[in-house]
Amino acid sequence: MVDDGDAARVSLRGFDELEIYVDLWRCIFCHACEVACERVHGSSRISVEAVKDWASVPVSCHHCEAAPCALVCPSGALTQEEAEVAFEAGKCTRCGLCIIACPFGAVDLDPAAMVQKCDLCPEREVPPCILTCPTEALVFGDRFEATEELRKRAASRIAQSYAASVGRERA
Amino acid sequence: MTGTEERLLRVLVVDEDECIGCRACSNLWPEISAAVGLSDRGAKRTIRFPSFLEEFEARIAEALAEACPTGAITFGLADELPGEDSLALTFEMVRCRICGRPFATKKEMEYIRDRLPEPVQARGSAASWMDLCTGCRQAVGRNAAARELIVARSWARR
Repeated sequence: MVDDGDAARVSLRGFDELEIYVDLWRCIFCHACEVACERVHGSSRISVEAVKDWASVPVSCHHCEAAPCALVCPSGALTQEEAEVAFEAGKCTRCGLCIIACPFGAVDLDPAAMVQKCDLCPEREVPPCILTCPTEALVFGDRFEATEELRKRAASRIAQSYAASVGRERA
Repeated sequence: MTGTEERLLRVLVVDEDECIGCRACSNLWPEISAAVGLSDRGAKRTIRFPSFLEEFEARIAEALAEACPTGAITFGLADELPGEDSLALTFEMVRCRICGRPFATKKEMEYIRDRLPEPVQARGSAASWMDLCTGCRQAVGRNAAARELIVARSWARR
């Protein structure tokens, strides 16, 4: 188990509010993000599961605004910081209230260890899940950069399908 | 007061009304887990607090009192052993509306509701996400995301 609980929260990223976004069109259910997360944190804080044979969907902390987990945390281990919900393991009493308060079921309590929740790897330039994702389904950036990238991808899909339909009509 | 300082015993006092049945005390440290027993059986959670432990150090007593989110645990000093060895509190649990698994005590849910400003809406679920266990909350979110993707894909193929 890698203990990163008391690592100094020095961000290499300055004051950018960077978050992880998911492009479901690209997720191929390979679990590489889970493996990368587990390698760094000892257990994975992102989980990918398939919905029938429709899609595979990764779920991790959404870093909510007015995050319920931080609102109910009695010991101050979970705190709301701008666009991020930070977790300080040293303050956690493992009471489990954050788990019940998370609307997405994205907080876990490893019975043998500690509350498990994505902290966006503040001590790294880019979180390992992002670096490992082979299809770039996980997008890391502030909400402008990231959503611009996702919008570009959506636009190019629309353009492609339009071109294809025009091609079919001409044929 | 009679008796010397050494004769006084450190006695655990748990406020039944304040205790919400969370896992803060039983999960705090391994040596405390051994003393405070939490068990979930069916839709009932029972927490058994020792009323007195000889080996209760001040350190552990303070930690227990500090960890409790509602301040339900305090320590008092007594001249003699309390009549009961332990105090067991039983809590009714809430079952997940989808899978039926008991996932939290009713009092935990009240504690959380009191601290959330308004019903927080989670994507793909009604405001009733609080009635679901964590696994089913994940599943509901995944289903909604997958449905959106299917719709978008079928549109793109038109």
